[in-house]
Amino acid sequence: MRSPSPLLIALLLLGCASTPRVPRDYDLAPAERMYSGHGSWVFVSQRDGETLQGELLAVDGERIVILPLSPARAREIPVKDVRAVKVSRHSGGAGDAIGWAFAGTVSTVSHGFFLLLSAPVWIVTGAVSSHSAVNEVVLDCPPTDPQLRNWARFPQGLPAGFDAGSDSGSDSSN
Amino acid sequence: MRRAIFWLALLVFVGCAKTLDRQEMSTAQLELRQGQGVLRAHLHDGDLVVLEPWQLDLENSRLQGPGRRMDTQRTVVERGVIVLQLEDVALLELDELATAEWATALTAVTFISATVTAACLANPKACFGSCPTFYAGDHLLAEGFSASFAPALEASDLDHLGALEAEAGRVRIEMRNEAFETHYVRSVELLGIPHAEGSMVAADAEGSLWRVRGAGVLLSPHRELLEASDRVEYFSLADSSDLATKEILDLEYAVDADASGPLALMLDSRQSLMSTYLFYQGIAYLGSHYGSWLNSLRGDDPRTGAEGMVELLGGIDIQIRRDDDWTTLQTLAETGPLAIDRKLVPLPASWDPQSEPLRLVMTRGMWRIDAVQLVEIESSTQAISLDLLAVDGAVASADEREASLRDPERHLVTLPGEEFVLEFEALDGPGSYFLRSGGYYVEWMRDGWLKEENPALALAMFHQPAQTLRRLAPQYKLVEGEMESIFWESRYAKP
Repeated sequence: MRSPSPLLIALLLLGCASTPRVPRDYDLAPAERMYSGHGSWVFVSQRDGETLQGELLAVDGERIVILPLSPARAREIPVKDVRAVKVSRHSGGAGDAIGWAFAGTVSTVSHGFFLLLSAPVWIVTGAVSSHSAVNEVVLDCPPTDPQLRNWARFPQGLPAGFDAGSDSGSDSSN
Repeated sequence: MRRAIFWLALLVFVGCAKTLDRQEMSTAQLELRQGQGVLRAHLHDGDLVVLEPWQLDLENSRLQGPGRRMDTQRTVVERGVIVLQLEDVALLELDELATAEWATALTAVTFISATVTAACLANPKACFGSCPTFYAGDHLLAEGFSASFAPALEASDLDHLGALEAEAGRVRIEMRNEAFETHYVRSVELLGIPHAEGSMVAADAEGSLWRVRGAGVLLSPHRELLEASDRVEYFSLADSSDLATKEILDLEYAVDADASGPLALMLDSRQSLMSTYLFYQGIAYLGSHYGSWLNSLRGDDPRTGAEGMVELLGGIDIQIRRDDDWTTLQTLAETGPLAIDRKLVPLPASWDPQSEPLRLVMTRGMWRIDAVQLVEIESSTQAISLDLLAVDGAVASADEREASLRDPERHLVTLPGEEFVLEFEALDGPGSYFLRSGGYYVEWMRDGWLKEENPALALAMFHQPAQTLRRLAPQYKLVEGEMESIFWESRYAKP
């Protein structure tokens, strides 16, 4: 109790542990994501155990189309082969919650004796919030979930003649 | 400065706690949200148009607003005011920023935390407790050796606990260190006095115990506050120009006709936080010299230098009027602002309640009086020392803890946040309990106090106490109103 730091770190790491790593160009803040033309970064877990990742281009009842960083070529994955999908809708969430809780915990040095109560409250709230933040930022769903297409570059479906082979994936729209 | 950075960082996090709410919309739904958020129009050819603000013109089947158009590779191909025909649009999305749900709890904690911080920064001497506290469940029973703030001042203290609940022949008392202090507890002894239900036992200033019973009714002003031990206390506020200013509380009783034995006043009281404030202020003025001052106190000469101030502030004088003059029967000066303590003050056998009024004289704003009851002393009594059966706590082994408390040559040393459960043998039947605790404690220096280091003012506290009490009066008055609430809110305990 006298040194809450190890507990703080341990609890907050619980939140970090389940946050997927997203390439920087796709790790956009909510306000940036609104103006971006690209799809969100997606992790597709297949039934054979392999996980593919890339920009979510399009999704329908039959297939998920993603654009990996390398090779930058569109890849179609049949929905029947997909076990689960995780979409990182935007950045923030767990990182913000952890930073917030950490700053709050440190600020309890100004509480004097009361920090014995307020620091653990910060730590526990931070751990719960960071876990909840991960769930809010990362959409974890089956491939048939209708929410999925909201985060695709082409929610209306791949346009005719779209050339994904030459797509760089970088956000030239920003 | 460091605190400012922390709070700035917190504000930044609060501002960043946003999430993106994206909803697919029909034109009918969109019409109800005219102009809100950022509109993303996905076109049949794969282009994307982002508009903000936007306007839906259903009459002419078009969307318009400033924004940009991106091709399928998401290269911007058009900027400025863009007009779209709805027939070209495949799908519409409305993006809005919302406060992240996960931030709700953190925002609430931030608000509470900021309130505590503000209160503590504004009034740091109100935020930190004092001396070892003893509880039965969440009920504060007593505070031990409050006046023993240095090794040289080690002493034992007898506190009235009243009746306690026993379970399986055992009484459980929690001893807590709730402050930034190191406690050196030499002994904790539970004393029990069996008596019939409804009887009372009280200790006098010398520690002798007496069986007593009610012997009269209080008629004075503030009767509703002072007639019973109910934790509804009488208190006044300090004088705004001199903290040593006294007040008088007149006492008038109707003595019961059947009261034939010696009479006494039974006073339930505790200090206000004025003494705590002055103690902490003294430490703050001593600043980096606080440690040397503590070391300078010797067991054979434990004068602190603050005797002048203590004398000016005084205790509670119980006075009687005789021969047109007021005589002090006794002065009670139990230290400690936390737990109410009970003391018995015998009245002269010749006391005539009709012609010899009684009164309390005390420093304004320094005492909280729960009850002043007129009682008849039935007999002296002896307490039974009840066996300490077990000591449970988070530090050291059980044997070590018990050994420390049982061995008069050793101290059980406790640090902030530590608590121990002491299990004692219970009385066989109804009765009253007293707690005798011995030891001393050392108050920790706080960062905030060091900023107030001022050797000249520390010396003035020691050598010019009257002047100091006048000088500190306006300063204390600024915080007096909120000290009690901040003090208790900054602890686990409730008064």
